[in-house]
Amino acid sequence: MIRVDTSIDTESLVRACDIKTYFTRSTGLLRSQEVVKAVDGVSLDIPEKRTVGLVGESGCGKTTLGRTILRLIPATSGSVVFDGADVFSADRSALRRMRRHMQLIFQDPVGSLNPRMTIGAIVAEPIVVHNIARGREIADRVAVLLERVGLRGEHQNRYPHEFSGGQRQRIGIARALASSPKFIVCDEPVSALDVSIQSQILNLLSDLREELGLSYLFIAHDLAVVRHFCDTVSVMYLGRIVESAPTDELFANPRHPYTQALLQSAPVPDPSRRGGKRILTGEVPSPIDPPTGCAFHPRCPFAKPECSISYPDLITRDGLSERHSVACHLADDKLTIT
Amino acid sequence: MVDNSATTVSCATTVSCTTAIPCTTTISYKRRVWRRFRTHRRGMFGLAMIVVLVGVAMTAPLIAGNVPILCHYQGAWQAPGVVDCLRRFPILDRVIPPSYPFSKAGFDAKEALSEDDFSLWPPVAYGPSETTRVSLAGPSKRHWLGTDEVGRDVFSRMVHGTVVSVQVGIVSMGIAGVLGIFFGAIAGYFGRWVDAVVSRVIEIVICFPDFFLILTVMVWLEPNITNVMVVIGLTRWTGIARYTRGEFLRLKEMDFVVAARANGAGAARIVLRHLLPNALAPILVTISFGVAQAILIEAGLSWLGFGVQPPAPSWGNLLRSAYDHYRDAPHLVYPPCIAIFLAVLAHNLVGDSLRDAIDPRVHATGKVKV
Amino acid sequence: MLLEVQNLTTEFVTDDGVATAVDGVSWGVRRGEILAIVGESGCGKSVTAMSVMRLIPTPPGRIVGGRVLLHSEAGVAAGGENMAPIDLLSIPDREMRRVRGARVAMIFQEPMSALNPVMTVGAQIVEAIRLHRGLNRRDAYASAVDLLQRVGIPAPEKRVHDYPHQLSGGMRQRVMIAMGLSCNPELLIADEPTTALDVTVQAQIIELLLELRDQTGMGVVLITHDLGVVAEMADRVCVMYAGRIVESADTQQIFSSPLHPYTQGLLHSLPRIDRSMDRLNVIPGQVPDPLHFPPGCRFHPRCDLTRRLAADGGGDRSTEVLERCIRRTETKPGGDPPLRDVSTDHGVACWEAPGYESGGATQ
Repeated sequence: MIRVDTSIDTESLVRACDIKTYFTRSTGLLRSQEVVKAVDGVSLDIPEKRTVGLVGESGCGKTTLGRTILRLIPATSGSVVFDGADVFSADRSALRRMRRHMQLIFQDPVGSLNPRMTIGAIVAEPIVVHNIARGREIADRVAVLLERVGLRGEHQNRYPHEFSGGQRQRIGIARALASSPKFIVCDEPVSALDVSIQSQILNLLSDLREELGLSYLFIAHDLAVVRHFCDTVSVMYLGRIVESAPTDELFANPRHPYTQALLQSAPVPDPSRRGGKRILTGEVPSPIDPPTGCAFHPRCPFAKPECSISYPDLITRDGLSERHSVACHLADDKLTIT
Repeated sequence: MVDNSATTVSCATTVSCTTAIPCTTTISYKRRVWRRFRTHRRGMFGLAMIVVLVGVAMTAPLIAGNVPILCHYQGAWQAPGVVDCLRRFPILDRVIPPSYPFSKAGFDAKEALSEDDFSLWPPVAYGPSETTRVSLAGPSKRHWLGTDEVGRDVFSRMVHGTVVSVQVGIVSMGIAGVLGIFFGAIAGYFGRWVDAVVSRVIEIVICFPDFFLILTVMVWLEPNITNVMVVIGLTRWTGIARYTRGEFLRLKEMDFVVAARANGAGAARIVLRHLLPNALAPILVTISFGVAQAILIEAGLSWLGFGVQPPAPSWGNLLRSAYDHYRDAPHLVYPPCIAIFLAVLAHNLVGDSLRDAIDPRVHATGKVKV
Repeated sequence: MLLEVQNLTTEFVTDDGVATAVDGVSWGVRRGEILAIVGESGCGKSVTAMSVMRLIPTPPGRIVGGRVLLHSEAGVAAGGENMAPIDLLSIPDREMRRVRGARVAMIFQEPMSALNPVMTVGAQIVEAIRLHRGLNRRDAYASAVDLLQRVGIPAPEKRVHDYPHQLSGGMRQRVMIAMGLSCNPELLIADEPTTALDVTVQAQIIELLLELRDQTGMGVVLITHDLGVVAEMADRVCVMYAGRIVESADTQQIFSSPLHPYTQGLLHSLPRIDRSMDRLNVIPGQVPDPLHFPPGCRFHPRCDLTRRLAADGGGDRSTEVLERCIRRTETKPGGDPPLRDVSTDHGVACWEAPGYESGGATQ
């Protein structure tokens, strides 16, 4: 098993090992079974008080991976150890106790809040479910949480539709914080927000991280946000991690052709750096029928015959730091898309 | 602390309250829907008619009856009409004793009360089964809508027939609603084999043309209003179940439900706090259309003689007897026709407007077949 | 000038009152030029585009004022056509339908909902071509294949028989662009054309639009919220905030020397892929709701300057500035600042921008 070793300075809080999440669906008149390999053998280590970024394009399985780790979607195989306990084999009551310490923040600020509940009730739900407080104390705690995320405590009896997108995202964050978690999966928390609101939410999340010692799995498609926010970054393509490295290293020295292409195609808000980029052709293939070998080879400008035969292991390479691993047959050739 | 919140800003700028939240009282989802509903004229018209219908049904003995509302009889004050009216409700009929001797069979209040006794009568002083000597009379001051073939006052029968329609609507859709929501909810929430079983049952039930199914059942059962209501309830729940199931399947995937699961909330909490409140409004729409259907079915059954049995009045059997005497007294046909039409229309209008009020983007015109 | 928008004002009547989504906006786009209209949700950028196309749903919307002048090309005019520009807001519906598609085309963010799911993409393009160019079926079909080829769809003679759901998101957007181009429009309005797409595909579409602009010489109005896309594509930029243009300049200038505090704030609040930074700058507060635009300068509740001065509390200078930015009365100078040119082709709407006092009204 290849382990992405990012646990040098702190202990690992979440350790996901070789996770596979397959969906089967029957289609057509003959009810033929299709297998969608949404996540296909991913290992991930999230150290305490660190933020691991997970980047990739739509359909690469990053959201599925985040929810599989929280056991919101059943995994086909693999294991997740959270704070020393196995998540997938936990029984109902053990899982409930675990849920108190791992939380989720959503992309969609509208759909993630029950429109029929007041925000007080929404934020109080984890407190009530885990029996953390009773009666008056619940309202007091909720007020403190709302103030903490930059809302007014007295807004408790208002409904979600009375708030703007950014404020709703703050409510979602308050709910995630209510049970004092250690680990939060942030699933594209800012991509549905306006530019001027994104930075507010990112700063809030980073303040909370420092104050409360949180660990984040930060799922995003925006590389600029990831660069700003994460300690290490894993790049996913079609259900697998293709490259994983500490943030600065990944941005300074991307080794996988896909990572390079992603960095190249991201638009930079600086007109003087316009043009002259090598643009990847084609689009992400369907996970129902992925290409053989390295899934990226049909789009890869350097593809060699071996690339369509075997899948390259995610391993560290010569000349790279030991926390930088790449899944590419050609990684040692130091090819660069320019 | 975060100094970048909206609240801090508006305080710092010395400007009046410019927070994104207007400084008014909070509006719940129900109130928002009601606000939008109020803007629909047709819906409000329908709602007003339903209120009138229910009001008439609840106070029928005070509008038309052969006992006085209030009278002084044999040295005591009595309110037999009010007592009759109250005793029509469940539970109250056990608490309130019948007003003796007015409720006794064969007792005729009109003859028993002398001119000197004070008495306040309903506007139409005829009971639904009280016969007079004039039969098939046209509308007059005494008989507002005339009399039928055995000399009963048609207005009185119409008013008391309202009770049947309202009861059928409420009770049958109550049964259908409970069954439909329950089966729809378990199918939608649990999925897998539960869904498969419930869906097959629904498919089987809707295979039968429901009016004829009800007819067949009514042949075996004693045709009375209770059986009519139960049978309609037992056959009309499928639409509600399918709708509930669909809503649950849709809502189950929403992020706020995922959030509740991530918090460790159990099935009961998720269903009762998250799924049902969000599904209820659209389910009410289908129930509203269902009431209209139930009223029609009951009228149809009574017309065919399988529903409410004469001499008890219902719009259906009033129409039947009017039909039999169409040549002699054509005016008898119109009241039950118009009443059935308006009752069905009212529920459909309310259903339509409620649907628009829930989802303002949809401007539905057609009626949903439930 | 190809298209000139003058003082465009569009309102929406809602349950809670009248929202002036676009409030006296003016801009122009030349042939071969890409003008970006950039702003956040509710700033009126999409409503501006829809108003130009006269596609505002009425009710609840209505265009209450302004002109949209579409100028004829000099060459066409010499051919005997009317040389005067036509005002798209005042011509009859029939004529407007001819303008749409034939002279001005529009593409949308979500290609799936803009394409008919039960028609093949070929049939849809053929329909558009026949409607405006009056070709026969065979020629129109050949022309459709040709168009798909031009927008970079591989094996176009096969793809014309596909239904929209059989295509990927990027391919659908290419089909939308092909449809837009089917009648060689003089102006293309692209409303968030890349927002629904992945980064690598977004880069492809940006490149395609740039190429097509170079080939055809059409003007492009790009509506977007993404400053990265603006920097990659646009020649000139209008920044919109709360229904108004707060700054307009060529792209270089907007990014290198923004004058309006909002533009500055936006640029500074962006996390950057090309450099690492400690903490993001923040524009505080919320994006305003079109029903409740603040009085005075609409940006003042979120503006760095007014907040700093208000925090200082007192001082003649701060009182004076504050009064001007916040005030509501018309008697003294102040209130909502109009867009003024402070240097050649650089307009800004801020009382405190350097050179604003002496600047002239734009255009």
